[in-house]
Amino acid sequence: MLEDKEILTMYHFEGKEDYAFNLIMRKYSDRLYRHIIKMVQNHDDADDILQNTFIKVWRYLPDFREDSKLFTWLYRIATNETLTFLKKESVKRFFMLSSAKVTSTHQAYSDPFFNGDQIQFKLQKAIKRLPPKQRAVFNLKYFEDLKYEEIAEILGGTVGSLKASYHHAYTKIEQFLKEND
Amino acid sequence: MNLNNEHLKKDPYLVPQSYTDSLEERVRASLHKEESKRSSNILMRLKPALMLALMFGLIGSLGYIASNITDKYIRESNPAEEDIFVLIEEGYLKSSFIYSYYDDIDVQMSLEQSMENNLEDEKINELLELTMAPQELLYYIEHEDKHNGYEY
Repeated sequence: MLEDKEILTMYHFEGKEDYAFNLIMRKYSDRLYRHIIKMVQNHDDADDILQNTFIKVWRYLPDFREDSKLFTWLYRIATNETLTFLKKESVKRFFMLSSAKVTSTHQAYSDPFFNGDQIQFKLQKAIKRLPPKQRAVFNLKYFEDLKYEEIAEILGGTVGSLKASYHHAYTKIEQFLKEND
Repeated sequence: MNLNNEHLKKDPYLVPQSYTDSLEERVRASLHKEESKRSSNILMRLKPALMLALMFGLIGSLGYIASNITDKYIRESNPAEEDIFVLIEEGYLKSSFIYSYYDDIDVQMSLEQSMENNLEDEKINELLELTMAPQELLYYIEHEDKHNGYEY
Protein backbone atom coordinates (compact mmCIF):
# COMPACT_ATOMS: atom_id res chain seq x y z
CA MET A 1 0.00 0.00 0.00
CA LEU A 2 1.35 3.42 -0.97
CA GLU A 3 2.37 6.05 1.55
CA ASP A 4 -0.02 8.97 2.15
CA LYS A 5 2.43 11.40 0.59
CA GLU A 6 2.58 9.38 -2.64
CA ILE A 7 -1.20 9.14 -2.81
CA LEU A 8 -1.56 12.90 -2.31
CA THR A 9 1.10 13.63 -4.94
CA MET A 10 -0.84 11.42 -7.34
CA TYR A 11 -4.01 13.33 -6.50
CA HIS A 12 -2.68 16.89 -6.64
CA PHE A 13 0.01 16.75 -9.31
CA GLU A 14 -0.47 13.75 -11.55
CA GLY A 15 -4.12 14.25 -12.46
CA LYS A 16 -5.13 10.83 -11.07
CA GLU A 17 -7.80 12.08 -8.68
CA ASP A 18 -10.15 9.11 -9.03
CA TYR A 19 -7.41 6.53 -8.63
CA ALA A 20 -5.91 8.36 -5.62
CA PHE A 21 -9.33 8.65 -3.98
CA ASN A 22 -9.92 4.92 -4.46
CA LEU A 23 -6.57 4.22 -2.82
CA ILE A 24 -7.54 6.37 0.18
CA MET A 25 -10.81 4.46 0.52
CA ARG A 26 -9.05 1.11 0.34
CA LYS A 27 -6.42 2.13 2.84
CA TYR A 28 -8.66 3.74 5.47
CA SER A 29 -12.20 2.40 5.15
CA ASP A 30 -11.62 -0.53 7.57
CA ARG A 31 -10.01 1.63 10.21
CA LEU A 32 -12.63 4.37 9.92
CA TYR A 33 -15.45 1.81 9.97
CA ARG A 34 -14.12 0.32 13.23
CA HIS A 35 -13.85 3.78 14.78
CA ILE A 36 -17.38 4.75 13.77
CA ILE A 37 -19.08 1.49 14.74
CA LYS A 38 -17.59 1.66 18.25
CA MET A 39 -19.28 5.04 18.57
CA VAL A 40 -22.72 4.15 17.19
CA GLN A 41 -22.67 0.38 17.86
CA ASN A 42 -24.83 -0.38 14.83
CA HIS A 43 -23.65 -1.54 11.39
CA ASP A 44 -26.27 0.25 9.24
CA ASP A 45 -25.67 3.59 10.94
CA ALA A 46 -21.90 3.13 10.74
CA ASP A 47 -22.19 2.35 7.02
CA ASP A 48 -24.22 5.51 6.35
CA ILE A 49 -21.81 7.67 8.34
CA LEU A 50 -18.80 6.19 6.58
CA GLN A 51 -20.32 6.88 3.16
CA ASN A 52 -21.01 10.47 4.15
CA THR A 53 -17.44 10.71 5.44
CA PHE A 54 -15.95 9.71 2.10
CA ILE A 55 -18.30 12.01 0.20
CA LYS A 56 -16.96 14.86 2.32
CA VAL A 57 -13.38 13.63 1.78
CA TRP A 58 -13.92 13.79 -1.98
CA ARG A 59 -15.39 17.27 -1.70
CA TYR A 60 -12.64 18.74 0.51
CA LEU A 61 -9.59 16.81 -0.68
CA PRO A 62 -8.67 19.50 -3.24
CA ASP A 63 -8.28 21.94 -0.33
CA PHE A 64 -6.31 19.60 1.92
CA ARG A 65 -2.91 21.23 2.34
CA GLU A 66 -1.27 18.59 4.55
CA ASP A 67 -1.24 20.83 7.64
CA SER A 68 -1.97 17.60 9.47
CA LYS A 69 -1.46 13.95 8.60
CA LEU A 70 -3.94 12.48 6.17
CA PHE A 71 -5.22 9.91 8.69
CA THR A 72 -5.90 12.55 11.41
CA TRP A 73 -7.76 14.63 8.81
CA LEU A 74 -9.84 11.58 7.82
CA TYR A 75 -10.50 10.70 11.44
CA ARG A 76 -11.57 14.29 12.11
CA ILE A 77 -14.16 14.16 9.33
CA ALA A 78 -15.40 10.72 10.41
CA THR A 79 -15.66 11.76 14.08
CA ASN A 80 -17.48 14.99 13.23
CA GLU A 81 -19.94 13.09 11.03
CA THR A 82 -20.49 10.58 13.86
CA LEU A 83 -20.98 13.25 16.51
CA THR A 84 -23.45 15.08 14.23
CA PHE A 85 -25.34 11.82 13.71
CA LEU A 86 -25.49 11.11 17.45
CA LYS A 87 -26.69 14.65 18.15
CA LYS A 88 -29.51 14.27 15.59
CA GLU A 89 -30.46 10.92 17.10
CA SER A 90 -30.73 12.39 20.61
CA VAL A 91 -32.88 15.26 19.29
CA LYS A 92 -35.08 12.72 17.48
CA ARG A 93 -35.42 10.68 20.66
CA PHE A 94 -36.34 13.81 22.60
CA PHE A 95 -39.19 14.72 20.22
CA MET A 96 -40.40 11.23 19.39
CA LEU A 97 -40.31 9.66 22.82
CA SER A 98 -42.54 6.68 22.28
CA SER A 99 -41.77 5.74 18.70
CA ALA A 100 -38.05 6.58 18.65
CA LYS A 101 -35.69 4.10 17.06
CA VAL A 102 -33.47 3.15 19.96
CA THR A 103 -30.07 1.78 19.18
CA SER A 104 -29.37 -0.21 22.29
CA THR A 105 -26.38 -2.29 23.11
CA HIS A 106 -28.77 -5.21 23.29
CA GLN A 107 -29.14 -4.71 19.54
CA ALA A 108 -25.36 -4.44 19.26
CA TYR A 109 -24.96 -7.83 20.94
CA SER A 110 -27.34 -9.46 18.48
CA ASP A 111 -25.78 -7.58 15.55
CA PRO A 112 -24.14 -10.11 13.18
CA PHE A 113 -21.06 -7.92 13.05
CA PHE A 114 -20.51 -7.94 16.81
CA ASN A 115 -17.88 -10.57 17.44
CA GLY A 116 -17.25 -10.10 21.16
CA ASP A 117 -18.04 -12.11 24.27
CA GLN A 118 -20.13 -11.23 27.33
CA ILE A 119 -17.38 -9.18 28.94
CA GLN A 120 -16.75 -7.19 25.80
CA PHE A 121 -20.52 -6.65 25.52
CA LYS A 122 -20.58 -5.20 29.05
CA LEU A 123 -17.71 -2.91 28.15
CA GLN A 124 -19.65 -1.68 25.06
CA LYS A 125 -22.68 -1.08 27.26
CA ALA A 126 -20.54 1.02 29.64
CA ILE A 127 -19.03 3.00 26.76
CA LYS A 128 -22.52 3.68 25.38
CA ARG A 129 -23.37 5.54 28.59
CA LEU A 130 -20.60 8.10 28.04
CA PRO A 131 -21.37 11.46 26.37
CA PRO A 132 -20.47 11.27 22.66
CA LYS A 133 -17.30 13.36 22.76
CA GLN A 134 -15.98 11.59 25.84
CA ARG A 135 -16.82 8.29 24.13
CA ALA A 136 -14.67 9.35 21.17
CA VAL A 137 -11.75 10.28 23.44
CA PHE A 138 -11.98 6.95 25.27
CA ASN A 139 -12.21 4.83 22.09
CA LEU A 140 -9.31 6.61 20.37
CA LYS A 141 -7.07 6.21 23.40
CA TYR A 142 -8.20 2.81 24.72
CA PHE A 143 -8.73 0.84 21.51
CA GLU A 144 -6.48 2.64 19.01
CA ASP A 145 -3.80 3.77 21.46
CA LEU A 146 -3.37 7.16 19.77
CA LYS A 147 -1.22 9.82 21.40
CA TYR A 148 -3.04 12.67 23.09
CA GLU A 149 -1.51 15.10 20.57
CA GLU A 150 -3.06 13.10 17.73
CA ILE A 151 -6.43 12.95 19.52
CA ALA A 152 -6.20 16.75 19.99
CA GLU A 153 -5.75 17.14 16.21
CA ILE A 154 -8.83 14.98 15.61
CA LEU A 155 -11.16 16.32 18.28
CA GLY A 156 -9.69 19.67 19.14
CA GLY A 157 -9.01 20.79 22.70
CA THR A 158 -5.83 20.72 24.70
CA VAL A 159 -3.82 17.66 25.69
CA GLY A 160 -4.59 18.40 29.34
CA SER A 161 -8.35 18.51 28.83
CA LEU A 162 -8.23 15.28 26.82
CA LYS A 163 -6.24 13.54 29.54
CA ALA A 164 -8.81 14.65 32.11
CA SER A 165 -11.68 13.51 29.86
CA TYR A 166 -10.09 10.09 29.36
CA HIS A 167 -9.46 9.69 33.07
CA HIS A 168 -13.10 10.49 33.89
CA ALA A 169 -14.35 8.07 31.22
CA TYR A 170 -12.02 5.34 32.50
CA THR A 171 -13.26 5.82 36.08
CA LYS A 172 -16.94 5.76 35.04
CA ILE A 173 -16.51 2.57 33.03
CA GLU A 174 -14.60 0.83 35.79
CA GLN A 175 -17.32 1.76 38.25
CA PHE A 176 -20.03 0.47 35.92
CA LEU A 177 -18.23 -2.83 35.33
CA LYS A 178 -17.76 -3.35 39.09
CA GLU A 179 -21.46 -2.67 39.76
CA ASN A 180 -22.57 -5.03 36.99
CA ASP A 181 -20.11 -7.84 37.57
CA MET B 1 -12.82 -6.58 36.08
CA ASN B 2 -9.67 -4.76 35.12
CA LEU B 3 -9.82 -2.43 32.16
CA ASN B 4 -6.12 -3.01 31.58
CA ASN B 5 -7.00 -6.56 30.49
CA GLU B 6 -5.62 -6.93 26.95
CA HIS B 7 -8.60 -9.06 25.91
CA LEU B 8 -10.89 -6.11 26.54
CA LYS B 9 -8.77 -3.92 24.27
CA LYS B 10 -9.50 -6.16 21.27
CA ASP B 11 -11.96 -4.74 18.76
CA PRO B 12 -15.24 -6.64 19.22
CA TYR B 13 -16.65 -5.64 15.82
CA LEU B 14 -16.07 -7.37 12.49
CA VAL B 15 -15.69 -5.58 9.20
CA PRO B 16 -18.07 -7.31 6.78
CA GLN B 17 -16.48 -9.27 3.94
CA SER B 18 -15.96 -7.33 0.68
CA TYR B 19 -17.18 -4.29 2.53
CA THR B 20 -14.58 -1.98 0.98
CA ASP B 21 -15.51 -3.02 -2.59
CA SER B 22 -19.20 -2.38 -2.10
CA LEU B 23 -18.43 0.84 -0.20
CA GLU B 24 -16.43 2.24 -3.13
CA GLU B 25 -19.29 1.55 -5.54
CA ARG B 26 -21.86 3.13 -3.27
CA VAL B 27 -19.73 6.22 -2.60
CA ARG B 28 -19.17 6.68 -6.35
CA ALA B 29 -22.89 6.31 -7.03
CA SER B 30 -23.69 8.90 -4.31
CA LEU B 31 -21.09 11.33 -5.69
CA HIS B 32 -22.48 10.95 -9.20
CA LYS B 33 -26.03 11.53 -7.94
CA GLU B 34 -24.93 14.60 -6.00
CA GLU B 35 -23.12 16.10 -8.98
CA SER B 36 -26.07 15.68 -11.34
CA LYS B 37 -28.36 17.11 -8.65
CA ARG B 38 -26.03 20.09 -8.23
CA SER B 39 -25.91 20.88 -11.97
CA SER B 40 -29.68 20.62 -12.29
CA ASN B 41 -29.98 22.81 -9.18
CA ILE B 42 -27.80 25.47 -10.82
CA LEU B 43 -29.99 25.36 -13.92
CA MET B 44 -33.16 25.55 -11.84
CA ARG B 45 -31.80 28.56 -9.96
CA LEU B 46 -30.67 30.38 -13.10
CA LYS B 47 -33.85 29.67 -15.05
CA PRO B 48 -36.05 32.43 -13.52
CA ALA B 49 -33.29 35.02 -13.88
CA LEU B 50 -32.68 34.01 -17.49
CA MET B 51 -36.40 34.12 -18.27
CA LEU B 52 -36.66 37.58 -16.70
CA ALA B 53 -33.68 38.86 -18.69
CA LEU B 54 -35.19 37.39 -21.86
CA MET B 55 -38.56 39.05 -21.22
CA PHE B 56 -36.96 42.44 -20.58
CA GLY B 57 -34.89 42.07 -23.71
CA LEU B 58 -37.98 41.17 -25.73
CA ILE B 59 -40.03 44.07 -24.36
CA GLY B 60 -37.14 46.46 -24.92
CA SER B 61 -36.70 45.27 -28.51
CA LEU B 62 -40.41 45.56 -29.23
CA GLY B 63 -40.44 49.04 -27.75
CA TYR B 64 -37.45 50.08 -29.84
CA ILE B 65 -38.98 48.70 -33.03
CA ALA B 66 -42.34 50.34 -32.29
CA SER B 67 -40.69 53.67 -31.54
CA ASN B 68 -38.72 53.50 -34.80
CA ILE B 69 -41.83 52.71 -36.84
CA THR B 70 -44.02 55.43 -35.27
CA ASP B 71 -41.23 57.96 -35.49
CA LYS B 72 -40.78 57.26 -39.18
CA TYR B 73 -44.54 57.50 -39.69
CA ILE B 74 -44.76 60.86 -37.96
CA ARG B 75 -41.89 62.25 -40.00
CA GLU B 76 -43.46 61.09 -43.23
CA SER B 77 -46.97 62.39 -42.52
CA ASN B 78 -46.07 65.79 -41.00
CA PRO B 79 -42.68 66.98 -42.07
CA ALA B 80 -43.45 70.64 -41.40
CA GLU B 81 -44.45 70.00 -37.79
CA GLU B 82 -40.91 69.25 -36.70
CA ASP B 83 -39.67 72.43 -38.24
CA ILE B 84 -42.41 74.41 -36.54
CA PHE B 85 -41.34 73.05 -33.17
CA VAL B 86 -37.75 74.01 -33.87
CA LEU B 87 -38.89 77.56 -34.52
CA ILE B 88 -40.95 77.62 -31.36
CA GLU B 89 -38.01 76.36 -29.30
CA GLU B 90 -35.72 78.97 -30.78
CA GLY B 91 -38.22 81.66 -29.76
CA TYR B 92 -39.05 82.82 -33.24
CA LEU B 93 -42.71 81.97 -32.89
CA LYS B 94 -45.08 83.09 -30.21
CA SER B 95 -47.01 80.40 -28.36
CA SER B 96 -50.30 81.72 -29.76
CA PHE B 97 -49.03 80.52 -33.10
CA ILE B 98 -49.54 76.96 -31.98
CA TYR B 99 -53.24 77.50 -31.53
CA SER B 100 -53.57 79.29 -34.85
CA TYR B 101 -51.71 76.41 -36.45
CA TYR B 102 -54.39 74.01 -35.42
CA ASP B 103 -57.13 76.37 -36.64
CA ASP B 104 -55.79 76.17 -40.17
CA ILE B 105 -54.94 79.85 -40.39
CA ASP B 106 -52.35 80.75 -43.00
CA VAL B 107 -49.20 79.43 -41.40
CA GLN B 108 -46.87 81.25 -43.71
CA MET B 109 -48.43 84.63 -43.02
CA SER B 110 -48.44 84.07 -39.27
CA LEU B 111 -44.81 83.07 -39.39
CA GLU B 112 -43.84 86.18 -41.31
CA GLN B 113 -45.78 88.45 -39.00
CA SER B 114 -44.08 86.95 -35.93
CA MET B 115 -40.62 87.36 -37.24
CA GLU B 116 -40.80 90.57 -39.29
CA ASN B 117 -39.87 93.19 -36.73
CA ASN B 118 -37.35 91.09 -34.80
CA LEU B 119 -35.07 89.56 -37.36
CA GLU B 120 -32.90 90.59 -40.20
CA ASP B 121 -33.99 89.71 -43.68
CA GLU B 122 -31.32 87.14 -44.08
CA LYS B 123 -32.41 85.28 -40.98
CA ILE B 124 -36.06 85.44 -41.97
CA ASN B 125 -35.21 83.93 -45.32
CA GLU B 126 -33.21 81.24 -43.64
CA LEU B 127 -36.11 80.28 -41.45
CA LEU B 128 -38.61 80.47 -44.26
CA GLU B 129 -36.50 78.05 -46.21
CA LEU B 130 -37.19 75.53 -43.52
CA THR B 131 -40.95 75.81 -43.94
CA MET B 132 -41.55 76.74 -47.55
CA ALA B 133 -41.34 74.66 -50.65
CA PRO B 134 -38.77 75.96 -53.15
CA GLN B 135 -41.45 77.48 -55.42
CA GLU B 136 -43.06 79.23 -52.49
CA LEU B 137 -39.72 80.56 -51.34
CA LEU B 138 -38.92 81.93 -54.80
CA TYR B 139 -42.30 83.63 -54.93
CA TYR B 140 -41.71 85.18 -51.52
CA ILE B 141 -38.27 86.49 -52.39
CA GLU B 142 -39.52 87.94 -55.67
CA HIS B 143 -42.35 89.70 -53.93
CA GLU B 144 -40.49 90.62 -50.75
CA ASP B 145 -39.72 94.12 -51.84
CA LYS B 146 -43.35 94.60 -52.75
CA HIS B 147 -44.31 93.63 -49.18
CA ASN B 148 -41.77 96.11 -47.89
CA GLY B 149 -42.73 98.76 -50.34
CA TYR B 150 -39.93 98.23 -52.77
CA GLU B 151 -40.37 97.49 -56.47
CA TYR B 152 -38.04 95.70 -58.92
